Amino acid sequence: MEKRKLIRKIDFWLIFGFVVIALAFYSAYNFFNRSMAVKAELVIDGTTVKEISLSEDKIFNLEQAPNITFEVKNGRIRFKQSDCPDKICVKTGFISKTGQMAVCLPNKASIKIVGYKDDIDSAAG
Amino acid sequence: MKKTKKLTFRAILLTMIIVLSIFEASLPPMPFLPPGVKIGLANVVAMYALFFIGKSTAYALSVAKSVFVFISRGVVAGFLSICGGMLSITIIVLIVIIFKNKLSYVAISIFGAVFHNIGQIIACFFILESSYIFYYIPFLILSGVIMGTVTGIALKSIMPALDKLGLILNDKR
Repeated sequence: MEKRKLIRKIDFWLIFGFVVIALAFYSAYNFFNRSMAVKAELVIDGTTVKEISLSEDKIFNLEQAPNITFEVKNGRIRFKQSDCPDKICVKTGFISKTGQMAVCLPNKASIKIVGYKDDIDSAAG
Repeated sequence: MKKTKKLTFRAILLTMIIVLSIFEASLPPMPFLPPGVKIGLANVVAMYALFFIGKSTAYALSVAKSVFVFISRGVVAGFLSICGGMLSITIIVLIVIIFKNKLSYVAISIFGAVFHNIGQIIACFFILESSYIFYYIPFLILSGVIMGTVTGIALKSIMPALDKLGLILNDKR
């Protein structure tokens, strides 16, 4: 028969140690992730025309949608200008978080922020 | 006859593991827990087997459980299950060899739970081939610590009952 205690004082140090390791992983991840560029997908008329990194500031047009001007600034992206009547796309403003979208319906254009594939949804046994 | 009883005791333990994991999977997701985090009630039985019957039984039960997961939930879940189970048992065996009786049940249980999670995330890494899943490591370590404490206490409390069952079946341990 085993002689073992349910819990010992040293266990609190063990727990503390694991918490420190967890925090270290968390901050290391955040540190490295900051330099990892998030991308934006530019979709015109249903097809992804361009994938652009948000790490470089620039203003540009696409030949598939010459009436729209896009702007990338400080890791965010927006419709800077558009010829559409309602200007909903421009009013959406800058987007930067994974999954966010800005849409211009009249021009059938949309910007979608894509981060990483987040498909860990199968149940682990 | 003795062999039959031995077999029966292990079969009952395996049944407990499977029932507990089904029970756990049927619980509604807790709002305050990140998705995929479970208590690991089945590990209580696996740890009992490891401490009081032997390493080989614990490994066998773990493999049998993974086979069940494979049949009921598919290849990916089965693969994750076996990676977690194997790493967890191996780590427990190692720390028990190193520290002998100095470790408490809670400490062993925490090690088991944390490395169960780490084994699974390593498996995930090979399946998804995306390093982004390492984002999950801190949460899995923390949940391992919490759930390990819970299962450690649970193990200590159900030990008398399992011992009695072992005695009834006259299992030589």
